[in-house]
Amino acid sequence: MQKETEPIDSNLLKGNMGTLVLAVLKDGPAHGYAIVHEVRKRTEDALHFRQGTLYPMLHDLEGKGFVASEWEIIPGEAGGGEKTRRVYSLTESGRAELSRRLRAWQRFAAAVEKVTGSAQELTFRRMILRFF
Amino acid sequence: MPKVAASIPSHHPEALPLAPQDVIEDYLERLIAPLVGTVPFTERLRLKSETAYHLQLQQEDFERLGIPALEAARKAIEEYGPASKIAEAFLMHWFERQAKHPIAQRFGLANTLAFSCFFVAQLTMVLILTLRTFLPTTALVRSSLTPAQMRSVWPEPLPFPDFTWSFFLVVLLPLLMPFAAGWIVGRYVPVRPMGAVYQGLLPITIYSLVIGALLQPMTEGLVYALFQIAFWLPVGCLTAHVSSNLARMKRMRAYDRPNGRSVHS
Repeated sequence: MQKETEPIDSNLLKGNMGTLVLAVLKDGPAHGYAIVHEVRKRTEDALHFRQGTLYPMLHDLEGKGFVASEWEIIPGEAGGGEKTRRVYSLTESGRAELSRRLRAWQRFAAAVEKVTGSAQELTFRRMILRFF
Repeated sequence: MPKVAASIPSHHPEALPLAPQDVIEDYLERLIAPLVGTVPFTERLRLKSETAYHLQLQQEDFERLGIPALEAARKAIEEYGPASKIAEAFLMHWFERQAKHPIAQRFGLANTLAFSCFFVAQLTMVLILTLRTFLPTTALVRSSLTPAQMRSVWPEPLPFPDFTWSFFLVVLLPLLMPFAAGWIVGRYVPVRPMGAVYQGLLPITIYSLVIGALLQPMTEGLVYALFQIAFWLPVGCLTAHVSSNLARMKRMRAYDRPNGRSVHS
């Protein structure tokens, strides 16, 4: 049987990364690093991806109107200057898109389960469902 | 003759130990460099700021785990991904976002552009072959010399069945078309132009193969389709690759000039 710690196929992740990002933003606005941190926390570090690929995707989601973003000024610590960070939030259109993607994902997972017939083999599916 | 120092003076920046910030700055430069001249300044600045903030937080997290600052910065960069790969991903996403037409949004801007270029090449070829088939060979554009006159100068066997402009069009255009179409694709597609040519040319080649099969027992159609696979595809891909690299170098040179394009462009 496959170990839980074995890395998950990155191709599985590629098509679903946007959904994970939208799901994190559903709980409130967050900056890029916080999104990565939250994904890792909720998936118990099971998903490994190049963190830098998150930003092109966030910009894409923003271009499609699913997320909105704005600069936030963080007061500097003692002796340090002010810092800025880009904070992303989910739009109404993004909420609708997330629901649509979730329905599609659940249909897909159910179909795969019907073929394989073994819930134990669907580590990825269980992890994603736990995520939401 | 000026004296040459045996070693770098201790106050020189090169003699100072490498700081974590230097490692991150170096990474940011490598990340942004491939985008210069293509992606607007404001978007480059945004990516740079977001990346710098991300790397700083990641580095701080590693430091909390007891990793020394320099090693933490390196590990943060490793987690973020190779600069060239991230820049390529950013460039690809940015370029595809420029698609305005629904067809380009559906199939991808690069693929649509490549398909359009090679489709024009295909249409030109079909037009010429049609004219060649249904009109007399010398009716399209008359040469100043007739085939008979040519044969009086060069006795048979000649390398060509005739020596008309239409014949040259039929022979030269299939040879030149992939260079021209590939060049245009590479000029406008900043990332993965070879993939775009492949995706764009694939449906055209399949169309040629189907038409070629339907035209049996005439073999010209199939020969043309095979020629597209064996010549148009590799030549188109390579030309697009070369053209894209040259265009990128040209854009970067434009930025290096003192009176080059503004940072706001």
